[in-house]
Amino acid sequence: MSLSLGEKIFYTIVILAIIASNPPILNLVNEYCKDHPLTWGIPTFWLYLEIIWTIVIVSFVIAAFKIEKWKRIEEKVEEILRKEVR
Amino acid sequence: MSELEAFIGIVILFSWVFLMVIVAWLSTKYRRLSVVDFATTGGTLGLLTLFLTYSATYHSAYAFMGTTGFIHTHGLAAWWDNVHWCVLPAIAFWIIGSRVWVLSKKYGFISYGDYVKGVYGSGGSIATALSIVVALVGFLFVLLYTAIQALGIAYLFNVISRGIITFEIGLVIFILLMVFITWIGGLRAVAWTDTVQGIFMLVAYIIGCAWVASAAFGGIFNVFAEAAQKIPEGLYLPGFKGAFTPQMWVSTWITITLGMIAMPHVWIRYYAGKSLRVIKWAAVFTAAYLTYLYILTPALGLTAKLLYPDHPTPDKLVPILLLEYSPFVFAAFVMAGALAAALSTADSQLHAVSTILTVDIYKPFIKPDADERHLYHIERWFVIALGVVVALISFTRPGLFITILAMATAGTAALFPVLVAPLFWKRVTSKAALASAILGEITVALTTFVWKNPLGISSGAWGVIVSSLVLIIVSMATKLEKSVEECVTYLKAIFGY
Repeated sequence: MSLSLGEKIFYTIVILAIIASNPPILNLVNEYCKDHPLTWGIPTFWLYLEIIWTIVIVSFVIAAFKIEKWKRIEEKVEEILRKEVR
Repeated sequence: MSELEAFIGIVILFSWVFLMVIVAWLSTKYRRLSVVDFATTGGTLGLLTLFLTYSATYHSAYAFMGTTGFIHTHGLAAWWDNVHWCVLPAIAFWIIGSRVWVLSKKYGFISYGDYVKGVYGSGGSIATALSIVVALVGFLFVLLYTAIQALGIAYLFNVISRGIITFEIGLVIFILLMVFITWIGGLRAVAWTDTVQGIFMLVAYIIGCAWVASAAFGGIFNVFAEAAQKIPEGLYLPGFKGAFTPQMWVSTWITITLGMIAMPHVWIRYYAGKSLRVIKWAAVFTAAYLTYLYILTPALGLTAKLLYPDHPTPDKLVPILLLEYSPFVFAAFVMAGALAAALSTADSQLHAVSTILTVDIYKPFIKPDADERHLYHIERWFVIALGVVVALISFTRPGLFITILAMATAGTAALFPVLVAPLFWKRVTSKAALASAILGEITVALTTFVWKNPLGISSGAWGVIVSSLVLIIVSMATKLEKSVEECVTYLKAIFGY
């Protein structure tokens, strides 16, 4: 398997987000939410998950801009399709 | 006043219906009379259209009506299990969708079953049997899903028109519109109308949530403060009814995420992009759209629970809240957004099932020598015929169908390993895939109807576990197949893994 560094970072962020938004880590957050249902006036549990997955979405945006390998794949496929059309 | 409101409501509603008819008709300017164009637009959708058709199709009437009902029933914390199936399918759109798109360009796949038949092609009759199983499972669940969308919207028509449009007439209008859009332009008309509807439903829903929360409690922060005082158990797990245990939390998101990715109307969109670049950016925008559509849903859902704590049908609370806490014209506009959410999913589903019937059943088994133009006309007839079937199902409103619908995402989730494995693993075989699909579906049926959610794990997760294990074990015990090996090698040469 040959993942580029950018892909490794992006997929690691996704996996960490899944780990952080599921038990057992989520159980710890849930216990905290029982005592502190709101943070800055917003439901803590919802805010926690919203922040985690916003980080994933922002990472996805950065990955789409920055990962050179994905751009090379796009170019490679374009080239293959052009050849096949010819 | 009530008569004037009814008139305004009907005008808003029919203006929206008329706009959709016009957009669908405009799309026919680019129409080609071939089944490839009808089923996938021939892979010509650009970024805006692909991203909004994927997103609008993905979010159904549930996004507008069901989410508030869910928060009312299980609480805010349990509902935000949703975040998994908002972001992960978008990432899958890139990781899986890009591979499926490449294969569709190489082999000319345009449907659900023909993809399976193609990648497992070396299996011969086993691959054919597999394609039938996959096509029928997708067909059954999606058709019932479409009927349920129609039921929800017929209720909205009735509310907006202050009862002048009866439930039955509302149902007929919705189904006629759905059939017309699909019939006149296939996926292109569906995608064009989805683009308009996707934008409208996002704006209408967010403003609607903000308006109701502000009118009822003076602002969204006040809703949260009130909820923390009066219904704090809704702000953490396991929620109001104690249903969202750790097992249920994990198994629910796994089932819905994988099930939605594997739904035929979602899968078909993988074929429709113009280029890989378009697919990549459509995936990125989809992640943001699917997630932030719900940015103010917590305020609306908690408002519903605080104001109507014991309402017997919480899925109907959105129109009730809008009519109670916003001007009627505004409420009618927002509910037109709900119509957009339901229609954008329903016409996509009708399109997907008619494509399955044409490409996966009619062409290989009834008329193998049919040309593109003949298949195009046949698919349009199937659109009409299936529209009638959807109407018949909706009119009878049978409880059994609702129960089967509960299996929908679970049923397609059990197909996920069969659909995705040949994109990454050359060892997978058609025999293993057939055994996996059949045993996965049997497991889902047993854990839905006989032993309900054993060990607190949802039926869909059991289906995924069994189908994955069967796929791996039987693949290891059977001979390598050339077609799968070729697909994986081809994809590896492009994607690097």
